[in-house]
Amino acid sequence: METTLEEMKRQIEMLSHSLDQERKAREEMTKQQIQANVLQLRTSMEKAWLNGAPNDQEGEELHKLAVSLSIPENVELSLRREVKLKMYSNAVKEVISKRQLLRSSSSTLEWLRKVYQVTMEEYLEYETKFLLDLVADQYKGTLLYVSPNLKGKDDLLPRLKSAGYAVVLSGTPEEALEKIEKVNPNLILCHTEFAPGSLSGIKFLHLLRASPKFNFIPFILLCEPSEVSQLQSSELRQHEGFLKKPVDADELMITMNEKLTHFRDYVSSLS
Amino acid sequence: MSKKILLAEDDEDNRDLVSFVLMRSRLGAELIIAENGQEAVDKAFEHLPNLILMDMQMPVMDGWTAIPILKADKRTKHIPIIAFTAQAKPEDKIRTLEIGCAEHYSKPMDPQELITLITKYLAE
Repeated sequence: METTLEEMKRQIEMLSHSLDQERKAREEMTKQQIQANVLQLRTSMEKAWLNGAPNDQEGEELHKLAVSLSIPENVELSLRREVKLKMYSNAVKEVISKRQLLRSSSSTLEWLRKVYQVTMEEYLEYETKFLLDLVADQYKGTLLYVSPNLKGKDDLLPRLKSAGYAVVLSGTPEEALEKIEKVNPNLILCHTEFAPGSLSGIKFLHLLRASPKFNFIPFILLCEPSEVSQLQSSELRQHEGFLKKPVDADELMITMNEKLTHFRDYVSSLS
Repeated sequence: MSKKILLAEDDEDNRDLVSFVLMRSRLGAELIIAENGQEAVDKAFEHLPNLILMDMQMPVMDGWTAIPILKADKRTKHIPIIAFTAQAKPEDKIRTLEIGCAEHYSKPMDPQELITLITKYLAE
C-alpha cells in the first residue's frame, strides 16, 4: 500500500513538473511571438515615418497591421511615439550636418518638427536628448591651439569650433605645457614664433617628442613664409606637419584630418 | 502622373539638401538631377519637367547660358524656371528675370520657403 502511494506521489510530481515545463515553454513562445510582432510593426513604422508623418491612408494601414498582429493599442501608441521621435531626431541630425547651406537653423528645425508632427511638449521633453545627440555627432575632439595673438582677431577660431572641435587656447608654449596634461588634446596647433624669452613652436614640438606620453599627438606648426624651407628639410614625422601663414582654413582642415588619420592608424596598429 | 522637377546643381551637398526637403514635403514629385547646365538642357528636353530649379554658377555650362537655350526651344519655353544664386544682389534678380526665369531664389535655403515656392509653380 505504502509503495503504491509512493509511486502515485512520484507520478504526480513528474506530471506537475511536465506541466510546469510545458507552461514555461508556452510562455516563452508567446513572449517570442509578441517580440517578433512588435519588431514587425516597428520596422513598418520606421519605413512609413522615414520622411515625416505618414498620410492618413498609411496611418490606417499601420493600425490594421497592429490589430492583425494582436498588439494592444497602448503598445501601438507607445511604439508610434518612439519611432516618430527617433525618425525626427535622425532627420534633425542629417539636416544640421548641412547647416552652412541653410538660411536659418531654427526655422529649419521648426519645419522638421511640423513634418514629423512632433508637438512642442514632446520636443521639450526630448530636447536634452536631441541636443546631446547633436553635440555627440559634432564633437571631433579637443584641440590645443597655441597662438601669440589670442587677444587679436583670429579667423581660424570660429572655423575650428564650427568644425566640431573643443578648442583650448594657450598664449605661449609654456602655458600649453601646463595645460596639456589636464586637457589631453587630440591635436595641437601651434604658431612658430612667440615673444622673446618664450619657447618657439619648434622647441615646443621637440619637448613633446621627448615625452613618451605626448610624442604621438598630431602636431601642426603655423609658420612664417621664411621658415618654410627650414621646415621642409626638417624631419617631421607622419603625424606632424606645417602650414604657411596666412593659413587657408580649408587647407588647415585637410591637414588636420590627414594628421588625425595617421594618429588613428597608429593607435589601431597598437591593438 | 507625378510631377517632375529638374534640379540643376553642381554642389552635391546642395543637391542632397533639396532632395531631403522634397522627400519630406510629400509633394510626390519626381526629382531629376543634372550636375551642370549642359546636362540640365539635355535632361529638360528628355523629361520635359514641370519645373526647373537652376543654379546659375555651374561648370561646363552655367545657368546664364542654359536658360536662354531652354527658353528658345518650343518644347521647354513654357517650363517655369527658378534661378538659384548664392548672390543676393538686386541686379542678379533683375538679370535672371530678364533671361526668362519665373523667380529668383537666393541661397542659402529655407526649407519651408522653398516648398512654398515649388508648390506654387507646380500648381500652375
